[in-house]
Order: sequence, then structure tokens, then C-alpha cells
Amino acid sequence: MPSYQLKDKCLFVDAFVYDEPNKEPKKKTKPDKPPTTGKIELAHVMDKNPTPAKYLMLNDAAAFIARFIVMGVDTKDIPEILKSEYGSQVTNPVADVNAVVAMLFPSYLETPRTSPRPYQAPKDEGKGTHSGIYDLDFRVNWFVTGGFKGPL
Amino acid sequence: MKIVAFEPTNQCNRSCRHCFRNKADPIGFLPLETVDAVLSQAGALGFKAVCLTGGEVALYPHLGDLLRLIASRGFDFTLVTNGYRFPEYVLPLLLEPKVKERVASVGFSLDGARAETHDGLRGPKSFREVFEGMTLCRNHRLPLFLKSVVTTLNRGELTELALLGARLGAVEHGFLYPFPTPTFIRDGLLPSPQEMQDTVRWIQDNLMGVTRNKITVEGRFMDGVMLNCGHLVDHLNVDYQGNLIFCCTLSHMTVGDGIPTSFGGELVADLKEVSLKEAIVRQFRKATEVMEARLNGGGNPVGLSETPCHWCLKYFGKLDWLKDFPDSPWTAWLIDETSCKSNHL
Repeated sequence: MPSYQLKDKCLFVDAFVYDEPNKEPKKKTKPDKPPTTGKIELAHVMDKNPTPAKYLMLNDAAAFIARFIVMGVDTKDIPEILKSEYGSQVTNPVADVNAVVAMLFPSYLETPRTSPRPYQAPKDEGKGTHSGIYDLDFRVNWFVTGGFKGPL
Repeated sequence: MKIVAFEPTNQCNRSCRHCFRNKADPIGFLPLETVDAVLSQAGALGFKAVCLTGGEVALYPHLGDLLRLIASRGFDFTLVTNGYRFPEYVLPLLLEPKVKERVASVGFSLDGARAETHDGLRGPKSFREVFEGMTLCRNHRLPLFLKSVVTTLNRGELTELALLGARLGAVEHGFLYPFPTPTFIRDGLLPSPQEMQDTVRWIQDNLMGVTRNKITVEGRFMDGVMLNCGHLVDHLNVDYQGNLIFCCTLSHMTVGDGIPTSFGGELVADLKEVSLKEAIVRQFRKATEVMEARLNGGGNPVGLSETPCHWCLKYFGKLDWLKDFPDSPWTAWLIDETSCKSNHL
């Protein structure tokens, strides 16, 4: 199963406030009607690409799952995380995770790739002759700030 | 020696069923001034790194100041956590630029590949906290390592556990040889010595070299009867009261239900009163005594010599409570006078 990441200009906002680390996080409340301006109190994902931006508010369980999806956790691991958080209240964690993926993909999530490199059809890149002797390269990489030196 | 290990606190938010921390001890916190004094001397003696253990480091009230102090003194550091308050409290501290450049690695305790197994040992929501912490570390490119205590609950899923650790990006995954505690035995979670021996061989044959990360077994595999313990060579362990303790395992270890710690030979020096240089001399004298005892009477070539931590626990009198568990195979193995001569201080 895949790992996802948010699309460019998309963001996930959690519904808890962690400003006071010694207290239980405060849960924000659902607004009377969906807000069109200002702060959105419930957990949500937002896409700032269109104007006006669009958003999707999530309930607690969906936000919990979405939080791990946008972190890039493999979706096959999230059902165990869900069971750890909610215990026996969760009866079908795999279906719940799939449901949240369906809410977010493809509107807010990139198409997952199994490899970071795009696949190309196999072909050779050309033949030639060579002396067989390679020049040693003593250039030094100066572009890292702080003067870190390392061979390119 | 190159690492100073500090226990910032003995307080923990969890009551793990296999933990050997003495829960009868009052809660305490290591004064920052003591850390500063130790580090100022340690730097001059060539120590390079700090390891923060516990208790749970996230419960230390001055964690930010502690990390900044370590970084400002020029030490790299490692910390071990159970993931408590990691996203909102510990991670932001680790990501402070001057602190981040000194983070050598962040260690998590993961005892099961499934939530049921891990949380069955550590309590509800622990699996989620560890997973979240590890994922965030990976995303922020903080090096990770894992510790897993082998128990009867997770013996059947060690392969899954090792693969999960590798997938989460742990550069090293240590499987810990368990130490007997009353709760561990009472709950039936402690594999027998023979089962542990089989498990360790199984890990060696089936896990080591299979994953991309490094798999280790801690607390076992010492050649012969010589005390060549890696911790003694590399580490100094300072407890939450500012004492130099001979070894982290011996520090405030449970000695039976409800019995608070009373120090024996494991207490090397009170670093609030003794210089680090003098404390190190005492540490090596103690190591010489222990090695002499091991050579002269303590070695059982087929048993305890392979598990030096158990040998030391017995030597320092930390296993007397096992007599209350006559049916446990550990009692026969560790306490039976015919199999291993006692060497209490």
C-alpha cells in the first residue's frame, strides 16, 4: 500500500491546540455554519490553488487518519495506529483508512509513486571507445555555508 | 570513555510491564547545575557525547534548557523516549537550529509490530505515539534508533518488528535481553533462559544482516568470563540525583515489590561532592574488583558468562527477590548456588 503526500499549496490543519504542554490538548468546536472567511475551527484540509480556496472539514477520526496520511505514513500501517488510539472501538480500521484516502485523493493528495525516480522504457545510451584512464577530480565543494569541504 | 549518560528524571508516564525501574522511589529531577558542572569537567577530559535516558525525558521540566546546555558545551547527544508529547514538545526543541546540529540520534522503544502487542506491554496509545514520533523524526531527517525488549508477547513477531524498524528508517535496532522483575515473571511475559538463548540464536541467524539497518542483541555475547562490557568502556552513568552509578542497568533497579532503592556497591560517587576525575578513578577501581570476582569465582561458562548483565545484577545483590519465585526457571538459573557462586559485595 502507498504513502501519500499533499499536493502543492494544499495543507492540513489539526483541530487541537497544543499551546499548553502540561494540559490535555483543547478540542475545537464545530462552527454553526461552514465558514467562508477567517479561521476554520475543525480539522480540515485546504487547497489554495483555486480562488477562493476550497476546504474539506473532517471529524475526529477522519482527521486522526488524515494526519498520518499527510505525514507520509504507509497506509498499511495506519490501521494499527488507529487501533492503538481507539482500541476496541475500531471494528474495521482498514476500511476506515480507505474511506479517508477516498475523501482526500485525488483532490488534495499527489498520486503515490513507489519509486522516487520516474520509470523509463529501457534503452541503451550510446556506444564509444575510451582510453580507460579516468582523471582524478580534486575539485572542492564550497557551496555549503560554513565552509564545509567535501569532494564533489 | 567518551559518553556521559544522564537520567534527567526517574518519572515516567508509562508503567511498562517489563520495566525494571524502581517505582517505589520518590520522583526526582536532575538539577541543571549538576549537569553543567559534570559537562564542564567531562569536556576537559575528552568526552564527546551525551546520552539522555530515564524515566521519560519529556517529563523533565527543564528539557529545553538541558538540550541547549548540552549543545552550547559542544557535546553531541542522543535521547531515548517513549514518544510522549513528542510532536508538540520534544520535537520543536530538537529542531532549534543550535540543538539540531548536535542531535546524534533519537531512540524510541518499540516492542511490537502490532498495536495489540506493543500496547499490551506499554499501555494504550503508546504504539501511536512511537509511530508518530518516528515518522516525524524521519521527515525531519533526525537519525533514529530502536530498542525492543524481547518478551513472550513479541517473540513471535520479531521479523515483522525488525522489518518495521527498517522501514521506519531506524539506523540501528537493538533487541534487549530482558531482566527479571516481579511483574515480568508474575505476568508470564519473561521467556525462560532456554527460550532466550534460542531466541538470541534465532535473531543472529535470521535477522542480522537481513535488513538494511544494523540489528544488535544487547546484554549478551561476551566472550569468555572476562568482563569486557561495552558500557563500562564507553559510558559514565549519572542518575537523577547526581550520582555516578556503576552501570545504567544497576541504577535504581527494582529489588522487589514496594521496596525503595538503597544503594549498594553500584554507587560510585556523588558528583555534587566529588570531582569527575576522582569519580572515574573510583569507577575503574570498581571495574577491577568486579573483573577479579568474575575471574575468581563468578563465571559459569555455559550460562551467566554469556549474559554479563545478569552476572552483574547478581553480583550487586539485585536479584535476591527471585527467591520468592521458586518455580521460575530464572531462579534456578540465576540464584542456584550450585550453578553460579554468589559474589555479593
